[in-house]
Amino acid sequence: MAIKRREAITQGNPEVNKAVNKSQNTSSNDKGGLMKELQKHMMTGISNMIPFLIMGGLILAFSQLVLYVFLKVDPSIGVLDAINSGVFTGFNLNLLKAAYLTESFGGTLFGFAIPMFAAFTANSIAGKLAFPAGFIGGLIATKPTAILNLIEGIWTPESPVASGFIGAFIIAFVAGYSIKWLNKNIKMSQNWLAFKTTFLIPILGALIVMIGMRYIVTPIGGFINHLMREVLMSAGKSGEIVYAVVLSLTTAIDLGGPINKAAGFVALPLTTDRLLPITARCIAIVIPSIGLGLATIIDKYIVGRRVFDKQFYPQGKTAIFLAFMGISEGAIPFALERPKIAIPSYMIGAVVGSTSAVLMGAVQWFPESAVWVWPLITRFPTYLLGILIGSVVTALLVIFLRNSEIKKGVLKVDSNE
Amino acid sequence: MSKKLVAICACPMGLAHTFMAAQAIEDGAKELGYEVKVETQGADGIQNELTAKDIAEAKIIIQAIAVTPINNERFDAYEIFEVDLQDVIKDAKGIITEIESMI
Repeated sequence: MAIKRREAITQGNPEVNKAVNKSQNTSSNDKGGLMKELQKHMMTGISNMIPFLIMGGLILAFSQLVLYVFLKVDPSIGVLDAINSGVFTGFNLNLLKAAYLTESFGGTLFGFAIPMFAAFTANSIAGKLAFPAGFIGGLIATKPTAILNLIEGIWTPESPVASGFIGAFIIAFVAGYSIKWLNKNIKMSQNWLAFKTTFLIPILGALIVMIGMRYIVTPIGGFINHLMREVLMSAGKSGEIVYAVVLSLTTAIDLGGPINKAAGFVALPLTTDRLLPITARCIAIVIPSIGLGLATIIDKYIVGRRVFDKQFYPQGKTAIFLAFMGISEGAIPFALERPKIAIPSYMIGAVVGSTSAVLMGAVQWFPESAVWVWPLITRFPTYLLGILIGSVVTALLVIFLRNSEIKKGVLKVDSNE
Repeated sequence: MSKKLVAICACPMGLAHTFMAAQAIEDGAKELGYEVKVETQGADGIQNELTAKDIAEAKIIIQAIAVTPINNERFDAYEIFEVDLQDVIKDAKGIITEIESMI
């Protein structure tokens, strides 16, 4: 088991050296710790980004519900065009106006997710001073500053391709670690401490981010984004299937853990830009919980006996309920109890279910698995069928594997029956 | 005075692992005869916050975290044992015993 010992950083009176030494407090000496350290900073960023995605996503989903579900507007028409079409009057027009409000509000909120990720990642690395540097880096990654081009004798500002999440990811770490380095290596007497923390490091940090974004991160990140788009678009249907398989595997594997969050981080910009739908992920989030929950309900009918300890039966029902709220963590107790059976079973179930739904034509653009966004799904019956197939596959695999282990005597259950 | 153990738990979503780890640490520490206090930094904010006094009195300080905790400077002057959330959920008692042997 990995236990990392962290020595006390300040000796004696902790107040004295606090400001100076703060940046060192997460440094680790062991080699394997570096990956872990990077991962922790990234997870801190993601953790703080998630509320923005949830709030923004829900408000944004409302506008889409009004437009495409209640009023049955053609999917190629936006809110503003629908308002100006003159078809809608009275209550429906007001409803559309509300939809416009929630769309722009939700969109703005959503747009802050990536800047928040970068800000909190940088903050996790180097503390307060890195927060604004990460924030502005993330913002410029989503909305790059215009570049001046000489067109017909006139200098004209033009926006380059955004570097998106790739850019935010790079700049968050660059900003964080460079500010940490500056803070540690610029040594000044106590009298000059104010100068260092209120002028020198802020201006150097801002300059690093500004120049780094303009000349390195935006061009490279923009190029990678552009390339990725081209590849995904040209791959067509087979590309979609490969994407669905990979996305569902990485989403299901650790039930809302780090791999799942990283997968979401990659899938999210693709779906918000309407490039590739997030269908597979939404299905893969719910399948493990529903499948394992289902296993607790149907086990006695399939193999004629209970295959779980009795405390798992109420947990199975909770897991199903949470899954309908779009939360996958309900399945964790099952995964911890017998990982060798549970994890492969629900991963297979997730891949089978997600891929078959995608093959049958289910499309979901909203990064949310809960029941209240179900009306937004194109070909909803196939989506539901995908969930059902995946859950049944998961449940059957778990039941049969556990049953055979019980027969072999490897596994003992206390089911009181 | 009985020996005291304090811990802080934080995971990215703050829904499940945080609280499962907190429960595991509480149970494990009590079994080993510690007076225990566990702070959770979950989706519902900071609960059961550790005070400077708690931290100063503690014989063992554990951080079961996957993200950088809020107000981490509190721990600057003390020796910390950082562990994986998964590990403590599986075997908190084992981890605490192992830490005891490291002191």
